[in-house]
Amino acid sequence: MRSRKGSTLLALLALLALAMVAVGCGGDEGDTGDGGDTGDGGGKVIIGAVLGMTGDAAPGDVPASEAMEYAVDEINKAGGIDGKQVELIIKDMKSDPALASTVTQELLDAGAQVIVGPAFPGMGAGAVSTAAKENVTVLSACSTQPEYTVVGGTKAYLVAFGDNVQAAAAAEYALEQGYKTAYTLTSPDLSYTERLPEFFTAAFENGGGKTIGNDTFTIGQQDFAAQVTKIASLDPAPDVVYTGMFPPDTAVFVRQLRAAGVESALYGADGCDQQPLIDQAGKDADGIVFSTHGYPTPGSRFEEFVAGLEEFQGKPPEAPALATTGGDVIDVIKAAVEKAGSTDPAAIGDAVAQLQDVEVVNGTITYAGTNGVPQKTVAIVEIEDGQFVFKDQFIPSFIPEP
Amino acid sequence: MSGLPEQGETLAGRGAGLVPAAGAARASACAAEERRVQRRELLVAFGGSVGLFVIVAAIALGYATLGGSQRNTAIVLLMNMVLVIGLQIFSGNSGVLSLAHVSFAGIAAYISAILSAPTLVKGTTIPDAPFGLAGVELPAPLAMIVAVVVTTLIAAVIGLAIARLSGISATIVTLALMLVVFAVLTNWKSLTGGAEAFYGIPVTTNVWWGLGAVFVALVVARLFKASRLGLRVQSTREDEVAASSSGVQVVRSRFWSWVLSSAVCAMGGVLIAHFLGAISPSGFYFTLLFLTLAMLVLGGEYGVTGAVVGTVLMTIVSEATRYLGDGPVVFGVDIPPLAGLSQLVQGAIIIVVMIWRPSGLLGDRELDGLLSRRLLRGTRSAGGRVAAASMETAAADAIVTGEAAAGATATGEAVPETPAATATAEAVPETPAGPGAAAAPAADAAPAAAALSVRGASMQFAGLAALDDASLEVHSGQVVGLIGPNGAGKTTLLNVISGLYAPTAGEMTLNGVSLNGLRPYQIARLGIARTFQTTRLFRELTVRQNLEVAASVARGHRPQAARSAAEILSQFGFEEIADTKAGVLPYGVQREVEVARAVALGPGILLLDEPAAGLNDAESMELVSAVRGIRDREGCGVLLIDHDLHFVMALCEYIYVLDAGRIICRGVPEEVQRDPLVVAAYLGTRGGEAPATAPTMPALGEA
Repeated sequence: MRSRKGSTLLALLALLALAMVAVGCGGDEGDTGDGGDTGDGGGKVIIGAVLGMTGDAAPGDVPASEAMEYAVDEINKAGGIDGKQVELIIKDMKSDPALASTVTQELLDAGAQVIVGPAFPGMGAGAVSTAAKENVTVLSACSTQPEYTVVGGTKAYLVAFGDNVQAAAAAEYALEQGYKTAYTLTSPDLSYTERLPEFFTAAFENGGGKTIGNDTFTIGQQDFAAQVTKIASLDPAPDVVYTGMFPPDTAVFVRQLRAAGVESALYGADGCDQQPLIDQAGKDADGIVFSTHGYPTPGSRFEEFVAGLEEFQGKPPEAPALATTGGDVIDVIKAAVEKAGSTDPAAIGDAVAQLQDVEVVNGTITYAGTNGVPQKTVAIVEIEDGQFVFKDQFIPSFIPEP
Repeated sequence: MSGLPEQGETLAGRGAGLVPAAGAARASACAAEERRVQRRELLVAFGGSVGLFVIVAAIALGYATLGGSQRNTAIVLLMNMVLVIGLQIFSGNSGVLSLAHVSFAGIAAYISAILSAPTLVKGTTIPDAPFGLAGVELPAPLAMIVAVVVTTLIAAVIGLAIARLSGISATIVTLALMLVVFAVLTNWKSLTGGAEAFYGIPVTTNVWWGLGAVFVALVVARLFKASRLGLRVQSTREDEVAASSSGVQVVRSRFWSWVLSSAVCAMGGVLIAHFLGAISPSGFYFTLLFLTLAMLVLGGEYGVTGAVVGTVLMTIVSEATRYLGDGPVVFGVDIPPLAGLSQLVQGAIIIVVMIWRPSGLLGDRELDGLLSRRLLRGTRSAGGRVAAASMETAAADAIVTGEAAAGATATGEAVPETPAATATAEAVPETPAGPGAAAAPAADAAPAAAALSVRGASMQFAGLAALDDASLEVHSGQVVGLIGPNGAGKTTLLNVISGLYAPTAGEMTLNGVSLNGLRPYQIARLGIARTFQTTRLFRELTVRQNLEVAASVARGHRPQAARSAAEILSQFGFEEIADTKAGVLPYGVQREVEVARAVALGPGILLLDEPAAGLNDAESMELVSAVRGIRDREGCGVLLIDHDLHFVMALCEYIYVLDAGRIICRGVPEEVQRDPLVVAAYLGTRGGEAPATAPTMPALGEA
């Protein structure tokens, strides 16, 4: 009786070992079928995307991945990059930092010459350090957090602007409106909501403005009465309230702010670039100004890209601005491969570092002379009569250190 | 081996000063034998963990050689395994589900990260770190060791509180702890850098580090489970009340399993930090918690082998579904990508396994369960001398024990000989040995005259008086019965004596040592053992382990009375069922095992709560001789409760009758049988109609 149980146990363990090896071999077979070793072989450009298709990174990475597929499809239809077809391999890292390095290694094994990393620096670290071992460069499509460029121990690249850049753009635009005083709201929950106001203040005060107060909030907070009361009691009222808050919080906050009779302008960042904000805040949304990646001005590449994407996937993109960052990253890779004149990973990496004025979906990108956070145009949008209205698009003249 | 006789001698020498020579010889022989047995058990457990390690190493190394990504997966597998094994040490053995262990992994990860990250990086990430940590840069291995040590100390401080809790309240506290640790890691920005990734950690973890950590974790967990301390923790998992009544200090044993378990989890945490190179608080939060819990529950949380198998299995499932979920081409079939497939399959597997096998795939089975049989068989044939030698010792033990028992009976007989002796003994408690008399001196002062005395015990439950000024005495070698109608307070009195209830008033002494205010385990360690009205066995433990819990306590606290579990097993004729789980035995056998467990404590006083309940007449009469046999062998006093008057009258030399919390009558069986108050209490009286003649009580008992 006892020994039978024992042998069942042993058999089970043996089976496990066997299954483990089988899974490993299965993975290997698939990989070799895809593309051989890394380097300048195969006559293909292979882009590996290690993305959070599920989990915390999904809201950014899923729209970006769809746009990447569309952009690659367009390039291949037009004859590829320097005559080479582009292969895009997207793998889900489930927003798991430990899985990121494993998945990245799989992509490298599959011959990836450049890697697109997930939305958050903590998740991207493993991808960057793993890719660095084979001299492969990592770019994140939709992250805006500058620490992404250093988190993996090797230089990595943002494709979107950094939060320091978009906050500086918002500050510059506010100064242009003649605003002199600002009040900021931060949340320690994300470096996004925490650092945007810091960058804004740095740029705003550099341009002669003054931040007269700061308060904190929690993401997902149901009631902003405490924060609103403080702002309403300020005399004189600040010209502008700046925060990295995003919907649905922004909608709740702005309603309470206006109900308390505060007339100050409300400025936010790219998290506000979504239709639900207008739906939820109604008339109180009017007057909100935010920085974002781009805007579908008539005849713009943005408009054209989003229309093409809609046709490609048979439905309108849920978050167009985030999706366009997926188009941007493919444009950057295309420019780098063309500049390098090869698909050697190291050559592509060197080329990325030297890119200047690359035309992308959202304006232009320059990496030359930067630490990996691109100089990129920032669009400023204001909500007027329940509509997103394009106001300006520029690279801020002063950018605070990340 | 060479060290053993010395230790035995030392112990014998120590014992000789306290107890009669026969007892000392018995104690030392018993201790030496037990040490041999335990050493063998630990050796087998060690062998099992080494075997397990070899299998894990083969899997991990084999998989790692397939390629870079497989190597990564192997490392993650090993790191998770360390966490799961760490969790097993506490939750598996104590039965208390802990949700805080990923937090200790997180604390350790952060400590190691902060200590080892280059000052250059920390200058930008945490320039204002407290304690001047921004300027500290330790080599990674040193930082890892410091992190594990500091985390263990933190866990120990927290454990002081958590070990006092059991069941769901302990789990809720660990949940709160996890949330607090997350909040601290997120908000103590000057130290941790806040919610976002802390980066710049030297990447040193590789397959070898992972294997090393798994080896340590495996050996620690398996040896702990096989150790006496581990066994005690498991007994608290099975039944806290029974464990403490068997002398197990529940809080302390749980505390040590908590500390050990946190240390192993800390080890897993530092590996993770030095594998990723960048960590964030959310990495040690719900996702990791669910993953490790699922791995443990899948394999079977009661066993180390289960933890290992669960981790490997879950990793295979996760890898296989991840491979399928990415939309590969398998045998020419293009499978469409399916996001979330692996979570779906993992969830489904957990549900199915939990329904099909609630205690996990392996339950508490261990690899060495098989190995030990092989090993023992090998020892018996190859090293027959060792086995023979140990059997000789056992035989010698038995002889010594027999002599000791005979001696005890001889001296004991004088005391309870006549009811008169008991009556005169009433005077004894009037001159107590004094409050200064501690347990040990009392033991050598009058080992044969161990007497339990309860005077004026009252117990109020929210105004209801369950006991009202109840007094009784039990002398060594005497079998005393406590009878009374349902709800009379009999079990309450037993619970008061064994320390489960603190009486609202009253004095209790054992050999003149006050029992008031002592916890159940302390009372048990003084030599009061008990059984329960409804059996409270350690159901998932074997019969041998059930006995060993009590026997090990006796060895530690009453060496002169201690006997080996093997001895008790043969005394009760349990050799055949020694390795059977107590919970699967027939009811009658379970009751016997419970008595045996109480006897294994080497009691001076044995409390039996309705031992004859559910037994037929023949069995009851067998029990009569069994209890007498125990009394004769152990020389202990017995206090028993039962409804079966026939049984009580046949067995007991003196009887107390309890009604509505009061002792209404006491005396030898013949006296009690005729007492009109007793008859009234059992039959009930109507008006002033007192029964003129005493009915025959045994007849009532049968009714």
